[in-house]
Amino acid sequence: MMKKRTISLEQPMWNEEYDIVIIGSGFAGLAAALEACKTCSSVVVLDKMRTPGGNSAISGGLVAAAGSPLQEKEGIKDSPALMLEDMLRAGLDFNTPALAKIVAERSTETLLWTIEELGVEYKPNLNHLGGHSVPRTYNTTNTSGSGIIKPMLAKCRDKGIPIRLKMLLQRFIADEKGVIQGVEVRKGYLFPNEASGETWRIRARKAVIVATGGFSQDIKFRLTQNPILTQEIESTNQPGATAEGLVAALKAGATPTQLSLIQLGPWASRDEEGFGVGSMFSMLAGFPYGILIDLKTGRRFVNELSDRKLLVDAMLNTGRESLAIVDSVGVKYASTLNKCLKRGVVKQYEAIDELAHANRIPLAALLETIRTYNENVSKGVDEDFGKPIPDDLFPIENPPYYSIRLISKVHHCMGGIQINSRAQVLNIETHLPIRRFYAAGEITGGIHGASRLGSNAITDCLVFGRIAGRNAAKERTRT
Amino acid sequence: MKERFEGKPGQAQSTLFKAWEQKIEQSGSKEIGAAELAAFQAVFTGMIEILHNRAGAGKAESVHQLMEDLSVSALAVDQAAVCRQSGMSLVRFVYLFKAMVNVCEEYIMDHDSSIEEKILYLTALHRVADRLEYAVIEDWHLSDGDRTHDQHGTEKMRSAIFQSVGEGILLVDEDMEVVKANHQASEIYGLSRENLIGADIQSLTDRPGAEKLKAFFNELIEGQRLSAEIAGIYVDGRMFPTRTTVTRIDLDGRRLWTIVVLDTTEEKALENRLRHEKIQTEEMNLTLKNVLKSIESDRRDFEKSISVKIKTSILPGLEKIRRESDAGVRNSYLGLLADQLVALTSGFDAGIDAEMLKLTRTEIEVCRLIQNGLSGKEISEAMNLAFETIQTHRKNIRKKLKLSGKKINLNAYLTNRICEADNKENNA
Repeated sequence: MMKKRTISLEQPMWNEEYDIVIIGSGFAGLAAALEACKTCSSVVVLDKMRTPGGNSAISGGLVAAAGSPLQEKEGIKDSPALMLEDMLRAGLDFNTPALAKIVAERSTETLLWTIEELGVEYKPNLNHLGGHSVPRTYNTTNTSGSGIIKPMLAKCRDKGIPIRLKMLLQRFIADEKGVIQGVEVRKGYLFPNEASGETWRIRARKAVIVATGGFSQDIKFRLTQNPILTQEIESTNQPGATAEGLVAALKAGATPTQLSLIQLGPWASRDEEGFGVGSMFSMLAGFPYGILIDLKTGRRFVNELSDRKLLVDAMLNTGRESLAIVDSVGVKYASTLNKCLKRGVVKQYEAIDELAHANRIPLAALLETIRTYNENVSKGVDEDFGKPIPDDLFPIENPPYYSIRLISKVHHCMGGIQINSRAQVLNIETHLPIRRFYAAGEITGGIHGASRLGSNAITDCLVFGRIAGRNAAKERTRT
Repeated sequence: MKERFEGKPGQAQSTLFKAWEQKIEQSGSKEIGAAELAAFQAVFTGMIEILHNRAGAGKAESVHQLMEDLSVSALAVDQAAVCRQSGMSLVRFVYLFKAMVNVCEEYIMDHDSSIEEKILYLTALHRVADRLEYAVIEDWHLSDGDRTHDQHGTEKMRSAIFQSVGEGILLVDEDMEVVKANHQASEIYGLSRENLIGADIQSLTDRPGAEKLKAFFNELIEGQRLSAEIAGIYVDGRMFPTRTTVTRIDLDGRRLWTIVVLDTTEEKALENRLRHEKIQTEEMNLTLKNVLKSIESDRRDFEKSISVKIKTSILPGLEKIRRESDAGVRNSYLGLLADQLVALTSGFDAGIDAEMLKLTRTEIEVCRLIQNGLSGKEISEAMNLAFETIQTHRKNIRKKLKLSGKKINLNAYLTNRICEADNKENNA
């Protein structure tokens, strides 16, 4: 006799379930996962790309911390209050002070966490990045964010946290009360083919954490926010830095904030794509130990240690073509020098006139610029642009000389969705937390205001990633 | 000649086109085809009309406005497209076009007007002509360009192959740095293109793997291919087996190596499973062999025991039957013998019956009577023997049936045997 079978035509609501579902495998997502797994055994990290780590893995690996061991060793006086002050000044007070304060206050604790719990290795010296009033930036030994991402991934493997790739977030699924229940993704997605993959629903018994990063590579979306950021303007980001995660969060009721505040990086090379190897050359040597000049005039036009916004504004002004010059003394801080030379991003010259000729800079003007600058350095005061002159800054006079051609590239999205100090996503209508919904990293907005200081992003991502992970793990488990 | 400017443009045109055709003919070039003529007429009619109108209306000062008249160049581009589609080459088009411009120049020079006016007309003509020429050539390149299209296609195909193969492909330079990598290589090592490019190839494997690669780099001559099974390291530190093939390419005096990597994790797992299964099968074979061997030896033991039984019980029993004249006793022997034969193939408890066959004729008779329930006295009377003799027989029977020293009543033992025999019969 045939057995009677009822076949349900409806798809099952959920294909899988975990306690905590995290979208994005960069600094914020992995920090959330590692923190959550301390008290919760069922955590999963999803990422749409073929490789984990997102933009974090290709960043420069610069971490700001106020009151760090290296600062103590070098006798640099610093405090979270001073760091907060720097953040608010660069951010033109667009920052949400409560959130910025958390980043500054937990910066050193978080840095130590990367060293002690993850085993991240940093160079033995601090860096002074533009807009910071003191040197407070650590840099990974490999001058890359991968120096932090790799240990994080190794730890995840250790803890049995699956990192599932090629999973594109489609939408957050909420119940009738708006409580986030899980996510719908495309499983087997092949970036950037929208049609690839199959629909897959993953339930979160505790919470969902969104850590999908910024949208610097999403030309259509960034154009809606700032019409000058056309496709002609390159980005330092990996190609997957697009807005669909942000848009999905907005659809789930998240509050957008300051989306049009998009940062360009002033230090990227004209002669390579993306962030490349030149950016770190400029940040570590070109700006702090060299000069930034206008090719046409051969003159300086800005304090090289200004924050990024001021630098970019000055560089974009009248379509300047900018060049950073550093000598053999200053270049020793550039840990990517060999790669830069090999790829032709940085050029080496035996004399200034050779450099001027090759770059079509008026020689007399350039020599005069260097002479004045050197005088200022010797005096210890930059009378022209107010660049801070620390003890280890010397006149530019020791050949060979090195130059890098610069162009501004879209780098970081300060704006995003609004969170509270517990990393909960706030609802646009009620201004209250959307239940079981957390966010951390570049997708969030308001922490950096109008301009994010260099090396504050990693600190922010790690601090709020951990907060999100910890709080998500505390949620009551749904049955 | 002033009237030519003031007359209908059609007149001027027909004159111009005639002059044009003559010019082409005189130059010995290929005759102008109908399609070519039609196309050029369309282009130049518009152009001459504008020239004629402006000049004729005394608006020479506004000839620069011709530049703004987009419709002329759009028309020219359209007509050029017609020529192109009818198979005309760009060289031919430009030749015909220049000839036409030339004719127009001559026409203006012949015109009887002031030198200033002539210069103005000429300037206007050249501007318009240059503009048309530029527009046409640009469009020609854009829409034609079959060869560039081909190149583009080949490049695209090459890139598609590079990206879609199942193996990771890395191009490594003399510093052992990765200079190019495909998607699959990214996936295999968990490193984005940005991280993979510039990475030291040695960081993607363990120490023995790095040594192996270095050795390959030193040994390889161009075009040669070497491959090895070396470990790979995923971004999170997980090690995995790979089959890595290295070839050398010499490019512009630089040495490069292509490294093709296949993640053999699954293959290895499959291999291990196969190996495991093979071991299991071999173990099973051995067990089966042993079982067969023991079955064989059992069979031999069995045969041996049967032949022993035949020799010791059945043959003597037959001898006894052959010699026995008394039917009753013979029947007893036959019954026992039948039981024995059955027991030979059916089991192990045939021992007792076999013992029975060893009994003498008198002893069998005694047994039969015991079985029939007779007492010792009754037997001695029935057999006409002394009671003591019967007792001796009984003793011997017990001995032969291996019952001596056992607390088994011979009467009960023999009765049971009968019962068993009956049962067997019944069952049969």
